[in-house]
Amino acid sequence: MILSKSTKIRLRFFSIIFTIVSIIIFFVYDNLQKNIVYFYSPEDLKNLSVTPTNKIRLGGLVKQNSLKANANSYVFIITDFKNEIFVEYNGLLPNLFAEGKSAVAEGVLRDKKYFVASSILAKHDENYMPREISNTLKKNELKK
Amino acid sequence: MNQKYKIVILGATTVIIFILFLKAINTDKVYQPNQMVNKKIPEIILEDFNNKNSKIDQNIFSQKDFVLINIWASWCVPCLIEHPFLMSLKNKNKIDIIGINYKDENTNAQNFLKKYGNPYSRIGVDKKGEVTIQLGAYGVPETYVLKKGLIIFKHIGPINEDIVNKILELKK
Amino acid sequence: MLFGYIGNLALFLSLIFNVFLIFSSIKTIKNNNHINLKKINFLNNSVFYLLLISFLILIYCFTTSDFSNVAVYKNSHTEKPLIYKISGAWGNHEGSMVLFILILSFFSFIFFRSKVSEQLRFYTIFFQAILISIFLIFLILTSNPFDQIDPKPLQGLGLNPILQDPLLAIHPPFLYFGYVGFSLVFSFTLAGLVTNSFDKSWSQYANFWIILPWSLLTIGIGLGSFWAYYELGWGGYWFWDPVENASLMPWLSATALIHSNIVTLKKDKLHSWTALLAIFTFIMSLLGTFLVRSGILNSVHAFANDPYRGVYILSMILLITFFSLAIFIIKNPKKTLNQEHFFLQKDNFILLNNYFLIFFLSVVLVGTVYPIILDAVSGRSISVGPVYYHTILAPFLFIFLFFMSHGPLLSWNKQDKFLQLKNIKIFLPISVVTSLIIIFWFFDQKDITLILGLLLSIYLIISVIFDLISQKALKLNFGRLTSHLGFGILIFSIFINAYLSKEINTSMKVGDEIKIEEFTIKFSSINKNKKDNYEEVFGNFLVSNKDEKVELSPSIRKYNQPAQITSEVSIKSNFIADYYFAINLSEFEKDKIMVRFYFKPLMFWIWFSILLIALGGFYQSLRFKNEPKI
Repeated sequence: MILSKSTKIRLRFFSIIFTIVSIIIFFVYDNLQKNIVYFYSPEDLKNLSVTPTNKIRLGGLVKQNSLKANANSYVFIITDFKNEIFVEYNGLLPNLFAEGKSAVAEGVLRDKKYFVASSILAKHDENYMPREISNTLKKNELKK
Repeated sequence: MNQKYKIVILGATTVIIFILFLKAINTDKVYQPNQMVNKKIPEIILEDFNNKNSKIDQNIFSQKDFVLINIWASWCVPCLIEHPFLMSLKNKNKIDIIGINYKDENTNAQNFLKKYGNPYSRIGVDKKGEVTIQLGAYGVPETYVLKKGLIIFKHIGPINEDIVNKILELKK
Repeated sequence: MLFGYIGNLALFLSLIFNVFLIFSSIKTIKNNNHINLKKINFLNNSVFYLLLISFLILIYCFTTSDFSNVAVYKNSHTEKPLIYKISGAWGNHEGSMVLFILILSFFSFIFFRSKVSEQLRFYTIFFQAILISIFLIFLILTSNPFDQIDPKPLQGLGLNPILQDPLLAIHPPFLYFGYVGFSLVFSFTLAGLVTNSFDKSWSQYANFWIILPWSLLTIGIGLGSFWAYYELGWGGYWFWDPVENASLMPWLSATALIHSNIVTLKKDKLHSWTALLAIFTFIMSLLGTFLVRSGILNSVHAFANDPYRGVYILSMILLITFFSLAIFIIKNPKKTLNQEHFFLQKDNFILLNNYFLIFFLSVVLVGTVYPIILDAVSGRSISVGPVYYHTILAPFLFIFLFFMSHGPLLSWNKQDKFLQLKNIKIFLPISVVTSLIIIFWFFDQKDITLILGLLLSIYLIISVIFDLISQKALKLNFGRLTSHLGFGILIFSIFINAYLSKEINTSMKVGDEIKIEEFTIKFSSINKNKKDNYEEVFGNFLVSNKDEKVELSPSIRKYNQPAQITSEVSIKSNFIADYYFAINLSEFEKDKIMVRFYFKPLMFWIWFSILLIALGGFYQSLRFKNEPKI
């Protein structure tokens, strides 16, 4: 096949652009996958066959009377009315954190029943409940 | 590319985006109201509207043969629309209605009932809107129909002529 | 009560006038009649004044605590201080939509007074009127701010202390002026397209209407970030939260638009790209409104009364998107260019800048929308961490900074290679030496990202200073230089801040003194203070390091109506760093208080540089306003 000079140049130009764009898209996609933090409810975790080792978010209600302060950390239970998971956190609990209210913890699972949180998210006001939590809570209450 | 094709592609993309986002908006409403239907009423405890020290729990619903639960608030405009229907259900059809006063101030609610009449045989208070979540409610107004503690029907939003007829039919 | 009816009536009347304006315009277009601007002007003004009246009445209802109004009942309280009663008027969904529409109309109102040709003015007002109608119908149907409650409740519900903050009171109007301001360029673009007058003179006028809302949006984003910084108590100022991203996306798109419009203005090319960006910028603003207002990011209960609201906003936005892009496709402004073309020429660099900005925009868009879509499609709830944004944006930002340093120095018309090399010879040694000094002086870690970030932001700052000194037309370029300098300082400060910030978390008793790293923290005393609706506990701390000694008094407020605890941070700020202190009550160890101390360098410069960026914009937009027609 014989290509004219201008076609060749154009072809080369487009293949370079194509390569660059593909590399960039791959770069973005790869980063997105690496930095996604999945959200789980206690029940989701129970149903998993493999315990996730990377950073996840765990959300639910903080069980009444479950909060205990140790020397340098807090331990409390996050529940979705059906399943419970112990959460350990050594940091400051945010103002809006309270027993009987919703909370989202970010961190890693030590085992299926024990979660070590690196941060507690509570950027919400009194009426606000993160959507994920209200979904799971409602689901479980309906199943009862 | 032809202009026509471009516009068709644009239209198709818009529709796809619409469907995706529509689904996203509706994700939080996956739990359709009828999922609660045909379930026993969950355990709930409410403060009594007229007496702060006494409580209302799910047993008063289970004991009755046929009862309506109506979630309402004095600040809720649609509640006003359905109010005459509730009154007629109580007076004309002698149906027992239990109210749940949702995120409301007691004095406001008292005034509301004084002005428009009280269709409720008893009223429980859900000041923080936490108990109604357990009923699977989205907000106000909402109405549940219970037969011996079993939820047989649920309606979101103000009730109207049709719903009243439906309720009367269910009672038979 | 009566006022509520008047307000409602004003809303309805404005809709009627507006619809009338649209129909009479359509009639004019159809019959090819002579354009009757007087009539249009009358209708346009009436719509604005009516909306203004209804907005003022809403504010009046809030200030007088008229609880027969639902919006007031839900969002206000008699015990609220006056300023928050007023700001409460736009702090809720209904009120903020009224403000949104009022601003739409305001831009239409002042645009009529510009010197644009009759035909363009006519069409712009026409498109703007369509936008106003769409949003008015939405307001009246799904979120009427004048809904009544009868009997009138005695007390309101809303007294959320977190929302009682002076910054939160003023920052939405700025954001809205920015967001909604882009509607005018949008309408103006459509007007230019349908009348086939998308040319140099269009660009000339458009400049003001692009840069003004852009500057306001810049301020709005800055204020929002500042609020998050001192109110949330986390020591951070940007969280890549979807709501924040929603305001950043139109900003990025508008920044690209400003630059491409300059090319359209100077070289009479890139028309179609400029038009597309103008449309896209407003669509991004609408997307932001949708994300914040539809409840897609929010809880179910907040919008429980109306599930149709989100669907309506979505349909509205997509309709606007579809029709505007369809107009763009049909009326695509094509201009043949037969100018001499060189590679190293200013317009190519501006185009490059546009590619980068659009790339940044796509990254933010993907990070914001992907979780929503994934949740809808697969039911998996995810969130995208900040690392995603940082790793992707950083390398491209470096290249962007380099081009940004050289692009503006190039000439519009000729090949400029030689001058470039000369510049690099000046900039490179200075910036390398400066950044090396900074890194060896202050940093233990030698991170490549840090080095590049510092190097290139200094590079940009030096190129702007160089440009400033050798500038022959300072007046002409002053706005651009200010904004670019601001951007350089911003990136520099962000990098220093990210790598030198320190955080200390611990619990302390009165009289305790602790030493962590170079800081000594002494808890000297505690005192209480009772106010009307809250009780405040102050902790007094003395923080010192080798060259600074500051007293900080953070506090905790316990509100009783509604019962809520907030912590008020205490910040001592100077040109070098912020000392940021917050406390929490510990429920378990009664005598101890949980303390959080942050050392945040160069925070002042972050805020200052955002201000510089915006000021450059204000300067430029005023200059364009005064510039005579070409």
